[in-house]
Amino acid sequence: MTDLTSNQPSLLRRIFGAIVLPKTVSAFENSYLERMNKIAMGFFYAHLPIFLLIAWLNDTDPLLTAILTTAVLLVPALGSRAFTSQRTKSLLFGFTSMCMGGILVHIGQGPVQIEMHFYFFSVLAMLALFANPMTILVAAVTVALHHLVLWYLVPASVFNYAAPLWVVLVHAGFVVLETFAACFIARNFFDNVIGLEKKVEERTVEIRRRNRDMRLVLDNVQQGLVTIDRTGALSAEHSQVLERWFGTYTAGEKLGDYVGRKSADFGTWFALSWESVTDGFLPLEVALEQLPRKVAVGNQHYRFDYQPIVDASGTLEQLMVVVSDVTKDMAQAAAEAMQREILAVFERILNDRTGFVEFYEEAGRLLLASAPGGEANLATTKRHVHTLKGNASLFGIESVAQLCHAYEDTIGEGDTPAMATAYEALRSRWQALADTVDRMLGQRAQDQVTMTGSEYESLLRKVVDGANHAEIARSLAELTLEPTEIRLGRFAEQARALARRLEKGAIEVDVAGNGVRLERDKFAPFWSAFAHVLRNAVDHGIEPPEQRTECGKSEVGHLRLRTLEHGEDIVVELSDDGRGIDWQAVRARAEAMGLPHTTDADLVDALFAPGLSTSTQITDTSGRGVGLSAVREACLALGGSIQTKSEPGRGTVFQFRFPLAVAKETTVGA
Amino acid sequence: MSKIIIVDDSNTMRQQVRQALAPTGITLVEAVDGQDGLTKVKADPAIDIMILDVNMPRMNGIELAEALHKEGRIAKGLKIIMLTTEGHAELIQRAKAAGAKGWIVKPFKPEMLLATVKKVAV
Repeated sequence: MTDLTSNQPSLLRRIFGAIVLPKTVSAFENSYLERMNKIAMGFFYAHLPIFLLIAWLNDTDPLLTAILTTAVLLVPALGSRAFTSQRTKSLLFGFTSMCMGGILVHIGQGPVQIEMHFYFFSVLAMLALFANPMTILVAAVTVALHHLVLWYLVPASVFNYAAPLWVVLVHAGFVVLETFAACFIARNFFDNVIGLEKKVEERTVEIRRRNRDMRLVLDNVQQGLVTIDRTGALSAEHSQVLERWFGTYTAGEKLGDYVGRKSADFGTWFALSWESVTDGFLPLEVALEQLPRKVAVGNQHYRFDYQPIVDASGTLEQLMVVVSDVTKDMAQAAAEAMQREILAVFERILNDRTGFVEFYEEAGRLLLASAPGGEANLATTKRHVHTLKGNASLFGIESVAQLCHAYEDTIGEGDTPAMATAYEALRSRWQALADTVDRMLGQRAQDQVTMTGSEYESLLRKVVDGANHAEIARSLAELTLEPTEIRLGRFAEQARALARRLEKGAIEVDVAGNGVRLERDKFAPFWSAFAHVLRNAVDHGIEPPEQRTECGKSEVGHLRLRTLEHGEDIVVELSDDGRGIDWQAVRARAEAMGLPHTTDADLVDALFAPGLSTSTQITDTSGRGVGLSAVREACLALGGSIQTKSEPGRGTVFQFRFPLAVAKETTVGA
Repeated sequence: MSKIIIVDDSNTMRQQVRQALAPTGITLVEAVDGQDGLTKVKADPAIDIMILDVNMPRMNGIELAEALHKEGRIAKGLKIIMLTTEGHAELIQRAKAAGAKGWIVKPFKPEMLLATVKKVAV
């Protein structure tokens, strides 16, 4: 067991600790003592005329009084120059005051000499005002020495009768009593009033230090930290980085306005959603969820997170806003997306190099042709971009498809500067992709002739049977044409991928090329536009599985892609078993656009008119009224025609017919 | 007891709303576009909460809200919650002017819609 008392300081040490003040002098103590020292100085200067008056009235040597009083006054007067510490200066008054008492008792000789002793006791008590037991002790020692020495040497200066030593000791006893009390009062005055100021000062220093630490954090943290009140106004404290990101900070400004200076969209959206937060209709967590979270300033991207600070009743008091620079994260995510896309492209190249090269080269051409301010008018530009978007999407290059979509939006709005920005974003993305793709492709080997086993057999037979040169040449020339089977197979694959992406479930696609071959270059624009028709069929034709079951259809949607020779025509046909064309809607849209809309033929024409879309929602895939007009244009360019059959609820058939002569027209150097 | 109508042309969205609100046990009516919604709300005075899409064929959400405002149905306590996509502030402002009380950005978390309906429903 520990002896607790052994840790206690000894009594002597405690008395010493009570009498001697801590060394440090607080600013408050210093200014207090400075004032007290001045007052004391004035108080003792005032003694001189009074003492002279008493000496003169009492006839006790005014000259000696003047000399003694002046000499005593010199002590603090000179001391105040010699010492800088106000506490040391005040100690001198302990000595001065008792000397003054000595003079008073001396000049008060006669009947009131004993009463003059009251001076010692009253002034000793007054010294407690200096809040320093030491001052009182100095006074007590001074008066003790004064009494003893003068009682022994000049007793008349102290007593008006022959007082014995014990009388001196009685006086001393009273002095000791009062000294104890005065010291106690002085020390308590120091601790609880003067020292309180010191404690406050210490706390203030501590708070300042914490504030400094906090400031250091706020100045250096790489996140924007700030709180806003219920009006959306910014608090004074904020992390410095906010100013670097969003400019000069003014406390009290609305957060929406502050960030809105850099991004008007953010400003508008924040103001709007902040209304939801404060109007109390939505639950707080739901309203907070609607606040804007992303903002782009130049090339920098920032994310906003919000943390509500609520009172006990759950009412929002403040909102803590944490802003992070996510530019790097986004670049990283973009790089990863690019890697994924490159992988998809690589797979494509491995599986169907020709198909990919064709897409790739066409995409490059479309991109060039759709530059803003180019030769093409807006409608053509829009069609090019739309085709590029569809194709990119089918080849799994979503980033390009998305940028096309954004570019299309700006074309639609006719916003020239925005168009330039959007186009540049698209172009640079394509370029980045192309750098890699070019390396993958190396020497482009599109110049190949492929033939099926049966075609080989049939050609071999012709040669063996001794067919004439012209016929063999024609058969060989036909081999340079592209078998539609391969291309239709490619489309089928794309349709399935699209159906998955649009959550239409698995769809069945039948392909029949029937040995038809078409000239690749000539038909390239048609096939490119045909992709729109295919996308329409999947997006708008085929219903979602649950809707199909509701209508009593098989859950799995069905597409058929085929080519065939029919009389003097080559037919390319696409049919689906989807919901069919909403002719009512086509009529309404045609009417709205001022197109003829009375006969069925009018409606079919309207269907292929530029800008007509019956869709009310523009999706990534389709709905901009661009696709069908493009396919008609491509079809007409080849001397072809289009036939459409559609039954509501049963499906749609599109037939594209081309004269055989055009389709098979090949140059044989014979 | 509240009765809710969801007006949205997307079957997927209606299904999502249906699933999100299933735990409340509140009766849910479905309408496939604005016109359909208008007819159904007019026919059923018990409907007091409307969850409303913006983009729809025939009659869009804003037009529907405006029509119901004109009918005085909103003054009679019909509470409209708009479902919208981010970035169309002017649409939301129009909807609010027509008396829509709140709006939620799509895509939304089911629990958000659930919390909203729980707060709004009587």
